[in-house]
Amino acid sequence: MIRFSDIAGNPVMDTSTATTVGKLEAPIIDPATHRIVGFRVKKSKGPGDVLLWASVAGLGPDAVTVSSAEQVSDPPPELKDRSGRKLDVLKRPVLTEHGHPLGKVKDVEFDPSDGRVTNLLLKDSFVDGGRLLGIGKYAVVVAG
Amino acid sequence: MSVLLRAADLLKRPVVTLAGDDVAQIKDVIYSSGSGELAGFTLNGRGIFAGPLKQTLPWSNVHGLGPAAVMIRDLDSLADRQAFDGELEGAGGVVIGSMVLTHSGRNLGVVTDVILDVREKSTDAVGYEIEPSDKTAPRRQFVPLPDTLSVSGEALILPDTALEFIRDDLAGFGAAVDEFRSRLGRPEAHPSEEPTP
Repeated sequence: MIRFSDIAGNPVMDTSTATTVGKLEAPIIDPATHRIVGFRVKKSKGPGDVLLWASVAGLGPDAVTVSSAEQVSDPPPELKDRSGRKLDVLKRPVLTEHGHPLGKVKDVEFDPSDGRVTNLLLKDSFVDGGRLLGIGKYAVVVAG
Repeated sequence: MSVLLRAADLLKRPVVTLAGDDVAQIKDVIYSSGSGELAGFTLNGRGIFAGPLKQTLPWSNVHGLGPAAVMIRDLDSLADRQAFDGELEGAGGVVIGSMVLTHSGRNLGVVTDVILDVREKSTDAVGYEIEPSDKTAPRRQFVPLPDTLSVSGEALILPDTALEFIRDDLAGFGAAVDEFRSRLGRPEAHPSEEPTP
C-alpha cells in the first residue's frame, strides 16, 4: 500500500524522450468502484492535464512513467467533472450516511497494483475505502 | 450514541445527497396536524442569494440526520410542496404555541419547540420544550412525549404521570423519556431502532 502523499508532486516522466512532462497533483477517485481512476497533472506538457490509470506505465517511489507526453490529455467525458478541482477528495470533509462529521481527508492510501483505495486517512482516524458512497462538492460520504 | 436536539436547531442545516452534493438547506420544520409529529421540512437553496425551493423533504425520505447534515439518498428524495397539503409549517403549526394540559386539568405551559432524539440509525420525536405557566419555575422545561396523545389547535393533553418526568435541562431528559415511556406500558422506547452489531 502507498499513500498519495508519498508520490504527490512526483514528476511524470516520458520514457521515450526522458523528459518530465508534468507533476502529480491529485488523485481522481471513482466512488462507485472505490478505485483511483487517474491523476490530475500540473505543469503538463501533454495535450491535457489528466493521466488515466490505464496510461500509467510505471508507478515508482520517485516518479511516474508514461510512454509519451500524449498520455497526459483531456479526460473522457464521463470523467470530466470527476477530475476537476471541485471534486478533489483531499481536504474535503467526510460525513457518514447518517450525517455525522468524521473530519477532513488528509491522505489517501491505495493499492499500487490496481488503484483500489484501501483507506481514507483523516486527522486521527481512518475510513476503509470500501465504505465510500460518494464524493461530492460538499462532502465525501461514507457508509455506516 | 444518542443526541437530543431541538427541531429549531435543524434550521439552516445543509441537505446532502449520498453522492456528497449539498442540494438545499432546511428552511422550516413541518409538523403533522394530526399527531404533532415531525412531518418533514421546507427547503431553501444553498448560497447567499438562493431563495426558497419549490420542493420539500418528507420525513420518510430522510436517510440520516446528524449533527453536520441532513442526508438524503438523491434528488428524487425531494417531493413537491403538495405533499404537505393540510399540514402546517413552523411557528404557525398546531403544536408550537399550544397549551399543554394534563389529564387532571393542570396547565403546564406553552410548547416552544419539539425535541428530537437523534440516534446512529434513527430519529424520534421524544418531547416538547415548554415555557412554563408557573412563573417560579425555570424559564424552559422539557416534557416527555407519549406515543399517542391528543392534539388540537387549542391544547395538547398529557397523562398525569408526565409531571414526574419534566426536566429543566436536556442532559437528564433522555433517561426521563425512556422511563416515562416504559411506565406507560410501551415495551421499548425505540422499537424502530436496529440492534447495533
